[in-house]
Amino acid sequence: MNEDFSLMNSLRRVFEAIASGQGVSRSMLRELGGQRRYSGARRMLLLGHSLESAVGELVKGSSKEVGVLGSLLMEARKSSASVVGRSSESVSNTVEKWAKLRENRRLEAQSQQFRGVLASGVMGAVTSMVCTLGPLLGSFGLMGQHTVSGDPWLPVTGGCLALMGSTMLGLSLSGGRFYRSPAVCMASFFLVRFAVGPLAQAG
Amino acid sequence: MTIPGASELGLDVRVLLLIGAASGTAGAFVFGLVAGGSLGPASQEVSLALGAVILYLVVSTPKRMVEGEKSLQAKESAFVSLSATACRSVTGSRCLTILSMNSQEKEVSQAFREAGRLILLGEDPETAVDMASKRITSYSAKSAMLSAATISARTPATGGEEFSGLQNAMDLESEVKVPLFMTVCFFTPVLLVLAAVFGHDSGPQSTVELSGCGLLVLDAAYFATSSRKEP
Repeated sequence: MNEDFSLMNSLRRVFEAIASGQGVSRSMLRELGGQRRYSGARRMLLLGHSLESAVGELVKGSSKEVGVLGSLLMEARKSSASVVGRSSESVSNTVEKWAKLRENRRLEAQSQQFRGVLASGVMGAVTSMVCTLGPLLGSFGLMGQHTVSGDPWLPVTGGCLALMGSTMLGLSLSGGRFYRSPAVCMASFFLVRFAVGPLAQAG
Repeated sequence: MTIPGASELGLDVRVLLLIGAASGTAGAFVFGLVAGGSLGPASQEVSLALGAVILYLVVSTPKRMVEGEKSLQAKESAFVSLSATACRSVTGSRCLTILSMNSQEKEVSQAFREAGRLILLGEDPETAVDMASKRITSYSAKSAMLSAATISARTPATGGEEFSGLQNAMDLESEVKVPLFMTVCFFTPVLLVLAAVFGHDSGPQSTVELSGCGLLVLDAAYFATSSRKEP
């Protein structure tokens, strides 16, 4: 993301140079010089490739916000370079604001992912506890209900349900790394099962 | 009665409600079949709640679609606005500006093509853009298009404010929905295991039924609380 902001600043300098009356390619060569990351685009311009190809090379792998500035640069070549250069200040500011907003959202998403993994771990532990100790507590008849004590299918049911809940949580919050939530959930499920199992058997 | 987004997509409200009610009833019926007797008397209440969630999902689909489109168009309007200004300063003609304009957003691009077609058929640029931009949901995109067609040289909106507003709304929405979804994901397995512990049935059939119930409830919660993707 820092690279995107750096490229945005460079493109802003390019627009300023264009507004001052310099040509588009010359402004690009001058303002993007000295930075190794942009050497591909500079080389293409010097070798006589079209501006579209050079700008495409420049914004390759960058965010959509940088893509908008790249499109403006190409628009400068097609229409009025001086008008685009002069008016690009407000658009650059807006686009930079969007990029900052996107970065904030990314950081928030990271903290949400952590919360999801934490909730999955707690869910696995609680489900396991209910599976293991539920029949024992139910056998006291506190609620006056019949319980399924010693049912071997109960941990399977609990495990399946905890796995589903944590997978959905992972899919919703973590996207591609969704497997972390079910993994943590199952680890805590079995940990609690082995820790509390003897207690339930003794009861 | 109006449903947000239905008029923009040209959908009939009654048909949408009918589809929603049918889907909700079908969802509740399927849940009843899947649950069998594993949830006991609570099965009916959960079925009704699930049917209501499915009805909400169907009815709110146009709103979500329109809001997604609006975000994309608001973002694109920054480029359209500046591009139109630059093009107009070179050509000096509103018609040529509209004919040469293009956009990466599908609806905006279609609107420009339609406006260009109307201009070639002899319409006034302002009327052509006004007629062609009817399906544009973002006011800043519409304003950027109109600015290319009007004689006055007023500064068009860049779309920044609208897009930021939409982003803020999306953030607020997600602040409400994410904790809600986490609560559903956390308590559904726990409550269903409690139902299995205190239930009258046990064994593989009960396991399958409860897992099916859990899957349906979690699926409905996932789709009801999933936020729009960031454009």
